[in-house]
Order: sequence, then C-alpha cells, then structure tokens
Amino acid sequence: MTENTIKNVNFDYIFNEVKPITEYGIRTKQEAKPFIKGQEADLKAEFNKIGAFIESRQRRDIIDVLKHIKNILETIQRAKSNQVLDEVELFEIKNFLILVEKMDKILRGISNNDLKLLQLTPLPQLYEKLDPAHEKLNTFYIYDEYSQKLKKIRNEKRQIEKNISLLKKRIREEIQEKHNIKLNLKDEVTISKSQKDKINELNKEVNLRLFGENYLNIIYKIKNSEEIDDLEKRYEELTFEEDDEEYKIRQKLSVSIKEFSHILQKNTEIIGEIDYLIAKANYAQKTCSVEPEIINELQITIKGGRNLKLEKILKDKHIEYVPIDLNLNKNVSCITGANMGGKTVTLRMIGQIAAMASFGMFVPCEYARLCLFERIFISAGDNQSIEKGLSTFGAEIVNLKEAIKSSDLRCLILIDELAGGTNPKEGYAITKAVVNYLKKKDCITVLTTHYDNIANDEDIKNLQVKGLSLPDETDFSKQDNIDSIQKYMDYRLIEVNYSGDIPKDALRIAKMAGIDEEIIKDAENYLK
Amino acid sequence: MRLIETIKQNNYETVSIIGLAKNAGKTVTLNYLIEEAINLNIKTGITSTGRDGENTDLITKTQKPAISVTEGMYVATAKKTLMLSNAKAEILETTGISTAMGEVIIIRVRQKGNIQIAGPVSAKDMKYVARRLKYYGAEVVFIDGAIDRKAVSSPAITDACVIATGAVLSRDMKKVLEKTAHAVECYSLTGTDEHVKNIVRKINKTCIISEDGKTLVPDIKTSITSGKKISEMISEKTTHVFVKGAVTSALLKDLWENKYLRGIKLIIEDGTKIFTDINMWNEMRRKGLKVETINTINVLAVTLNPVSPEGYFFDSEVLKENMKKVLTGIKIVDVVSGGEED
Repeated sequence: MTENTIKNVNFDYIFNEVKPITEYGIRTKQEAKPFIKGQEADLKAEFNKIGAFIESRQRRDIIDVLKHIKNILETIQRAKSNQVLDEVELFEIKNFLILVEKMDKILRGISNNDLKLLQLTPLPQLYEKLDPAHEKLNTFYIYDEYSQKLKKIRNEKRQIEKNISLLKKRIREEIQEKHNIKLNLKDEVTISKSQKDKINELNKEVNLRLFGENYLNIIYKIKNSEEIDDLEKRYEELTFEEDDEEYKIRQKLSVSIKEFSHILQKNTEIIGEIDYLIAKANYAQKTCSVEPEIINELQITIKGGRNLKLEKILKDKHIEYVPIDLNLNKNVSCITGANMGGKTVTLRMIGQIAAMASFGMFVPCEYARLCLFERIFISAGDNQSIEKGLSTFGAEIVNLKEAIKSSDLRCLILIDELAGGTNPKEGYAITKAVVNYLKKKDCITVLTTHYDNIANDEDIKNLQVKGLSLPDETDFSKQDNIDSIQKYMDYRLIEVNYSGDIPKDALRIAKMAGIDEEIIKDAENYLK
Repeated sequence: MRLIETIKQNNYETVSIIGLAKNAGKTVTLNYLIEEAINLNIKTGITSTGRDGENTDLITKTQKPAISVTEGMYVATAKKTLMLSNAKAEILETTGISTAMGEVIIIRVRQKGNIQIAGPVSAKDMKYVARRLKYYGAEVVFIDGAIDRKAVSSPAITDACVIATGAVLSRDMKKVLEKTAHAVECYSLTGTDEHVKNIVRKINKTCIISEDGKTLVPDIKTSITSGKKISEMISEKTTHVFVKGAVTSALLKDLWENKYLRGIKLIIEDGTKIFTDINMWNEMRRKGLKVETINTINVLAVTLNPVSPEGYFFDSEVLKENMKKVLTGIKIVDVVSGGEED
C-alpha cells in the first residue's frame, strides 16, 4: 500500500486506534508488515492468537502487567557495553524480571496452543542476584547481604554515628547546664553583646567557638572534641570504602545482566508481540469485528461490511450506518447507481477490510471471506497528488499507471469514477480499455462508474446501488434539502444483469435539493 | 503545642512550605520540621515542586540547599539529584514522571545523608507523588513548595502550609512585617460558595456570573491585560467575577473602575495568585472589595529568618514580637535562632 492508499481507505485512522501499552508493543506495531499472498498460514496463526486473547479471561490480568512494564532496552544496551548500572537501573531490571515471571504464569494458565509460541523466559537465577536478602519485594537496594565487607563497613558506620551523637549530646547537655543557655538545632546560641559577663564566661568555654558576630550579638557554636573529630574522620573514610564496595557490587551485577542480555531482549520482543496482539484483540472487540476467512482463490465476500471511520463520524451525528453486503468473484466488478448512493464509501470499505486483514486484524463485518493481495491500490478523490499540482485527471492517471504496472502481481485495484472529469467520449473509451486489460489479470478490480456499457460484458460483475426509494414521487416538499436525501437513500448493493440502462437519480436528487423547477423541466425534456 | 504536633493532631497529611522570597529560610524550616518529626518518631515523606532551570541551581550550587534526610524517611526526587546525593537509598518506584532533572524516583532512605530535591512540576503529578509517599509509609508529606502565577500553587493542593519569611524581604523591618501580613491575608482568604465553585470548575476560564447563574466568558487569552474587557461585561446583574490566573495591579485597577464591582465578589483560584501592589490592595479592601477563592489555603505557621544573606539582620526577639502584633492567631517560629519553646 502506498501512503496515499493508506489514507484513502482510512487505514491510517484505524491503525491509530490500535493502542499497545508498552514501548515494546508500540515498536512491534510500528515495525508490522502486511501479510501478502503466500503467507496465508502465518496470517491464520496470527488470527488464532488474537482469537485466543479475545476469548481468554486472563487478558485483563495481562494488561495489568503490561501497564507496569518499563523500557529497559537502554539499560540492557549499557550493560552490554560494559557500563556499570546505577541503582535505579538495577531496580528496573529487577522489576522487569518480576513482571516477566508474573506474565509467564498468566500465559501458562491459558490453555491455547496458538499462544504456545509466545513463550517468555523467566530468569530466576538473575532475579536471585538482585534479591540477595530474599525479601521478595519489588524494591532495590545495595543490600548488606551482597558482601561481608559491605556489612562490616556499614555496621561500623552505624556504631560511629551512634557514638558521635552520644558524645555531642553529652557536650551539649554539659554546656547548657554549666552556662544556663539553650542551644538551637544547629548547636548554636546567640548572645546579646549587652550580656558582657556571659560573653566573658562563654569565651573561656573550650567546647564552644565563636561562630559569628554582629553589632548586636555574638553567635557561639559547639566545637567538636578531638574524639569527635577522629570519629568523623573515620566515618568519612568508611563512606569512601563503602562507595567503593558498592561500585564493585554494581559492577558484578551489571556483568550478570550482560550475560543474560539476549534473553532479556528476547523477552522484550515477546512482550511487544503480546502487547500488539492484545491491542488488536481489544480493537476487534470494540468495533465488533470478526476473523475473516482467508482463501487462496481470487475472491472477496463481505456480509454486513462497515467503513469504521465513516461509521464513527455518522455515529457522532446520530445517523445510522448501513452495512453493505457484496460478493466480488470476478476479476472486474462495476458499481453503478445513483449519485450520493455511497459508491465511493463502499469502495473505501472494501479497501479498508482488505488492508485490515492483511495487517492481521479482525475486520468490521458480520462475515468476510477474502484472499490476500500483494498490493492494494485506490484512486478516489486523491488529494495528495492534487496538492502537488496535478489536476484530478492527472492524479488519476498517475495512480492508474502505478496499478497497471503492478498488475502482474495479485492486486486489489479500487477505482472511483475513472476519467469522470474528462469528456465523456474519451472517458468511456479509457475506462472500457482499462477494464478489458485488467479482466485478464490475477487481480480484483472494482470500479465505480456512470458510463453506460462498461458492464455489458459477461466477464464483468455489475453491482448497483438500490438508490432512492421515495415514499411517494410527489411527496417531497420544499423543506427537503440535500441532507434529507440520506433518509430516502438505500445504500445496499444488488447484483444486476446488464440491462443497458443505468438508473438516473441525479435529476431527482437535484429536484430534492431545490434546484429551480425551470431547469429541472428543461433537463427532463432533453432526456426524452 | 509544637508545630509538628499541630500537624499530627489535625491529621494534616500534606504540608507545603512556601518561601516569600529566596533565602527566606524555607530549607531551614523544612529541616526543622524534619528534625521535629524525627524526635516524635513520625515518618515523613519529602518532595519539592520542580521548576524549569533547576539544573542551573545544581551547577552553581548556590540555590537549593540540600535537605538532610535520615534512615526511614521517604523521598521523591529526580534521578539526577538522587545520583548526586550522599544518602543511601532503597529504590521503591520509578514514577514515569519526567522532569528537567530526569524521572522522579521514590526512595526510602537507608543511610542518612544530604539530598537535593527536585520533584514533579504539575499539580496532578504532585498529587500522585504525595499519594505514593503516603502509600509507602509516610505519615506526613512535606512539600518544598513554590507559588506560581500560572500553575496550581503547592499550598492549594496540600492540607496545610507553612510560610517562611525573613530579613531578606527588606532592610526595613516594617516592610517585612507588611509584606508578610499581606501574604498571610491573601492566603487566608475564605473559600467561595459551593455552587460558584461548581460553575467555575466547569468553565475553567475567566468568567462573569450573574444572579440567575448564567455566565459570560470574555474572549481573552490571559487575564493580566484584560481587565477592561472583563469590566465591560459586568452589569448590575453580575454577582461574581472569576479571574483565572494572576491578579495584577493593572487588572484590579481596571475592574475597580466598574461601578458595580463594589457589590460583586471577585473569585480567584487561590490566595497565591494575587500579585498586586500592597497599598492599592489594602485601600480597595477598605473600600469594600470582596475576594473569595476556589481553593482555600490553610496557613499553619509563619517561620522567621532574621538574617539576610546580604549581611544585614534583625534582632530576632524584636522581629518575633512585632510579627506577633501583625499576625494574630498564627503560630510564629524563629527557626534560625531557637525554634519553638516547649
């Protein structure tokens, strides 16, 4: 599919609605390629997996796990290039391992053979390294249990801390009592300069030092005793050793993670796949889509097909969407019928369903049976090429050329009003020739047309929009406008044998829309 | 009663600390509250409202002083600040909330040390983080807060707030008293009626409400320059005018021109949104300006720092006594020189 086709069959809208949760799932979705002719069995397996997730009660549980999964690819990459991971990264790996184990358990609880291929590999041996204290918590710390040395250092630090605070408390209490002063939390006291005696007294105190002075006050602070100074120095040394030891532990853990990096990576891929499949399952359920039957023969049968984007737009306007049935079992089919009869919408719907199926998605119908294509083309009100400066006809021709070029492959070619904007004589000739060319190819071509005599060929299937069904010919009054035509339009397609005549609802629609009576009468005269 | 006891007794779970200026002693206040909580065996959680450009503070090492944290405390801070900390941390959660300083991580302190804290920026994220800190075991969550013209200010989303003020506000003690009193007055404004709150929350834009409950929304981008437009839409039927965002002197002046305003209630998001000239504000209030808020703020205490980093200082006793005179009914604590009396 070209960008153009994707837009034109509204597949961009649909694909956007498929929302994986994890970054792995999003990546899997981004990298997804369509299934083409020859991959029918793979596609069937994909559908089976989606079906299994739709039916499985455990889908909710898996989604809950997915919501907690973080992207650890960067961390794995860092470990692989021999970097030492920090605590937060180790925490994330630990959590990933916990979640993988959890998800693996859930997946094993689903007894479905198609999901057997989505096998995660829990790594209890790596998990154990990240939980040396066997706490079974999803938090992480460079635990004392990692090394005897670390434990020893930390114990000593704790002891020193206690001693320092004890010593400080003693000095503090002594000073407060001795001099009848109150020290603040920072072990400071502010004395007014007017208290000369007090100042003389405090100046002599060996455990206090002058901390600050201004014209009003003098601030004293407790001085560390030599013993405290020594303890603090030792504490500092120990902290240094501790950091060193922690670094070694993190280094070791990083090496272990590197050893398992390929399994970790594989797990992220499988999680991505599961996430993407579940996103498709969710969307299938939300849109009441069904698994299409994939066949080898060139055929598209759709019962109750819907164009999801249009359905959504109409729903917002509280208008009901009319599902369409159709059976395309010849190489070329023509859709004819009234203007505003939904021909283009139907064309898009066919493309949309074929595109969704090829991307391994369930399709919005009651039933669908179709083959896989190698290419899908659509030419319908192509805006992109027009924006590039081409005329409508020019854009059509460019699209057509692309399609014809690929028509030796199995293609789905959808053409809306070929050469509709040019003079009828030439337009007819081009259309007829294209039809004649494509009917010999291993392709399904569907075109909408107003030209008579395109479908007067027994190789070509002719589908007709039922068209306007007015309650009474004279019934429509002046209040009716272009919007109310929807009320009277029967969008369903009927298969007709070629009768030579194409129904002409254009004039009736013009009349309903309120075009001047004089013009309508004049036009009617010309038709006779 | 000591400040921390008041917090516990009223079951305040989140308390923000707001400085009226840089170096007003916010960090000293925070450290003081932490110390007090430790003494009473109260488990605390700490975070701060992040702001853009916080990393420059880290590089120059001038602003954001470190908070000293001890074993058993809970902290939510950005990864970069965590990695620079010398406290040892057990990682509890990576929140997925990103800041200029990296993802916000929730930790439990395993070994004491100092840590700079840079928390989430948005109110929604802040609420989440506070909730998680409580979930892990914090009985009280302190938020090193910020007031913000545009975003939701931290006092408006916490149960209570402590205001840090001090000599840094002005060399003139009178001005310090005046500015502090003004801030406390603004923060303490009463909440408006529930039905007005509901209307405003639904519209969430500057609007004019009339007696029949009908609303008019002026077509303006920010309220700051749009006083005249709002004023034009006020009629004798108007009962409330809601101004979203900052209330400036210019805006207030334009509104005051409207003859109906004296009978109307001016509704603002919260008390931290007032950025008007103090004299003008006081005069209008005297003449009958009625102001109410959507989010009320509970001012718990004012802490004083009598020393300015510029080198000047006030006699802390004098400052405290004078502050008591202008702020009646509010606890005043000199955290720098003494803390609270028992």
